[in-house]
Amino acid sequence: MVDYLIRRLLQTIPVILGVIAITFVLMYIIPGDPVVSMVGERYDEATIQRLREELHLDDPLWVQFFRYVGNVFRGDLGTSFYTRQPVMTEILNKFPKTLMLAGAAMVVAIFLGLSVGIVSSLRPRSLLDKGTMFLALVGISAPVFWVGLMLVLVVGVYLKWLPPTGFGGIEYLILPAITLGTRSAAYLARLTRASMLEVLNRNYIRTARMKGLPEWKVVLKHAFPNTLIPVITVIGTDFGSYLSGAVLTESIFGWPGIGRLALEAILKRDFPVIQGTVLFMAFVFIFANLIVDLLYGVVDPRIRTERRGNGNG
Amino acid sequence: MRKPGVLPVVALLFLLVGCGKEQSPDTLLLAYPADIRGFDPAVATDFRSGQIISLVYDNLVRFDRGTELVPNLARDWEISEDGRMYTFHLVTRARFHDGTPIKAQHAVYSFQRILDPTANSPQSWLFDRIEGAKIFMEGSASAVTGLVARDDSTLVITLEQPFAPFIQYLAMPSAAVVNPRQVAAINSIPAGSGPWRLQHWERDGELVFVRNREYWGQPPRLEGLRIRILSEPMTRSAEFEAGNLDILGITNMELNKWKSQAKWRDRIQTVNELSIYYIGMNCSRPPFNDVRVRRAMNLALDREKILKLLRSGSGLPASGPVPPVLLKGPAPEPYPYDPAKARRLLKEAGYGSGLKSRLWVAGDAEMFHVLEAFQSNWSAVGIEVELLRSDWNVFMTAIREGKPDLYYLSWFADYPDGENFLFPLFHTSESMRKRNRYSNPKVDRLIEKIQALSNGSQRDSLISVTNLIIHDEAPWVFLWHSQSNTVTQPWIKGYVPRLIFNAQRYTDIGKQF
Repeated sequence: MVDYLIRRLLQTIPVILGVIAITFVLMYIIPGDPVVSMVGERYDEATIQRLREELHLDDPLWVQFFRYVGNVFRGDLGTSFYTRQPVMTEILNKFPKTLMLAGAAMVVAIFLGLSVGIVSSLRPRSLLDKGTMFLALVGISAPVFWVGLMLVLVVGVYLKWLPPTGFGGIEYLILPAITLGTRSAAYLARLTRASMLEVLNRNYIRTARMKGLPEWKVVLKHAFPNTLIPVITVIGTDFGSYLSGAVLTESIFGWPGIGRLALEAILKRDFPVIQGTVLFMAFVFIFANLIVDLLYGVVDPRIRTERRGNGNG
Repeated sequence: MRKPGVLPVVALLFLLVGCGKEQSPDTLLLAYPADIRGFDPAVATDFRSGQIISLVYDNLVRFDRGTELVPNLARDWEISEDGRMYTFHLVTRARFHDGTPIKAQHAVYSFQRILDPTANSPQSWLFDRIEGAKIFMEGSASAVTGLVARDDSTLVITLEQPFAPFIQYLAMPSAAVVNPRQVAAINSIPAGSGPWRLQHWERDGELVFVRNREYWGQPPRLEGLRIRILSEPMTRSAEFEAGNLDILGITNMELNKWKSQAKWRDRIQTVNELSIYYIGMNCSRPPFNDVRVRRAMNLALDREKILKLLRSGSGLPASGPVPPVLLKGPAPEPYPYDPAKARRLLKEAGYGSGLKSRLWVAGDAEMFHVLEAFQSNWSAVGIEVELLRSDWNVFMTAIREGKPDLYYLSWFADYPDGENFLFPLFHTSESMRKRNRYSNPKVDRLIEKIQALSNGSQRDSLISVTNLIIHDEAPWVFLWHSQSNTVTQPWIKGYVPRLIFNAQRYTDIGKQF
């Protein structure tokens, strides 16, 4: 297991280098001068030149690239052109908020998705099944900004049940979490239903029923755990994408997370922040995938055994 | 027994965690579409940072409700006969937030800090006309000779040449007086003396201020000020309707919606902004180096109709760059909508069979339908214009490099003076390097005279004359001077919108439920 973990972590190094290289090249081939965003409209050329020198923007690209890579491995992601704050500080400041939102969205997705999927699978082709699967289809299809704005208007403005937007206690978290988690919930519901339907027809389930086990035990103990592999894959990748920032949800709800940080940086051509957030997102995705891989082993002992075999062999 | 429905349970859950209203009787609740860069006046080039800096800092002078300057840290001042020497007498009771008394030496430090070459402040243009500033900026002198604290409460500033707008520069955010003892963390913690103190700043989330109880001037009526960062206009509107914001800036897209509601109609306040929206034409190469083509571009547009139908009538058609409120002499009439004359002028200029061009544009979607209307107007006289959309950075870089033949842009006053709509936009030294490559030695000479003359009828008359020449030369398609619209909650008392962006300090606003 430790061998496997080390191997996976080593595999991330070329991926990270690749991400840095691609972001770097993209940043420098697109037109536009980052200094323009810093100086306002009444600048003089001498100030522009001094700033370019201070930021090393006139250095050859490869010099800038290797300097950046060296700094990254020392834990320094540079300083924001715009706010003049260390990028790492800005990311670490935003990440807890994004983590909170992503966690809450995942709770919504897992709770709604799995429960609806299981219930639907128990009464296939019933009115309940058709109704919930139709809602799931709507959930998958509805654009995030539409769901968000509807929740703001209906729950926040007209019903006044919750603050429409903002950041603070749990009351501020509910609407963005529902907005962000709806699509995953809908997808999970359909996936869980399909997997459950397949598993419920297996022989071991029939055997369990013939043994006279109560239906809830058959479903939750024997059928449900066997549907988890695809479900974990979806949860893992969705969680990874939420952690790397949900730009639309964060913008609609005024949630100060990584997504808005990245968006603002792109609009202002704040190279160090763009590079820092992209790199951070790559880390998060790799880490989320690693967790998913490890969870496979927890859920399915066969995978664990197979890995051990590979590791020894 | 009947099971309870899901909806009441969800409603109960929501009510348990809190209700939607976050009204506070002592705190003013506002929303801005974007966060500020920081609290350092030396890098406050953006509009929003400037607004916020004026809440937590003081200047020698400041702008009030209209275009007038009022005393701030300087209780009065004298300007020498030759217009070069400014003597400011400072109030003696003013204190920074940490209790340090404010002295003339602090103003010297603050202005020198902007000029310091190691600071790389993009705002050095504010003070580079002070005697000895250029040598100091080159690093050849240790102090600026024209900046002298005669004693603790007397500051003398000597300029190299008379320059009338200088006194107005001193009211701009970057001319704020900073506390040298607090500059180490100035970007995140203000080092000022203003009527509000920063309590909390959640970047991209909110800025929370409390009343400066020891403020030496007029303290705010309310205890607190909370400014939330909400980038979506619909979100801001929803929060206002839910009662969670006290004042809302209305976008043009939403103006008719708010005006159509009896509840809000009478609570909308409109201000003619000190602004100009325009289309810059590159005057250094064909086809727009021909004044006839530029006039044709102006004559082909039906401004009034477009303004009325597509911008909710929010604006005044422009005849030249200087807004009417800053013109004290005669103003030309806006170019009429005259497609026949436009066609004739094009024919005379050798473009009888029409011409093609590209219009560069950056920014929000609000204006795209407006630009499409322009396209249609121009097309009707044989000018085919393709829209080229790019992000702000690419757009501004392209203009600096002189790439666009046409570009859509606006200009808002830094200070309320006609000169601010002339020198940075039309003087050869600026236009040829940063803008639409317009150069007219006669206009340059007039602008230089305006800068040197002190306020008075001669200066007013020169501003009008220069505005008229620029109208005739038409280096831009003059579109409109915009209006801003704000709506306030019924409990808000004493809110008066300001003409200049950093004049609003929210000190005279109260709440009465």
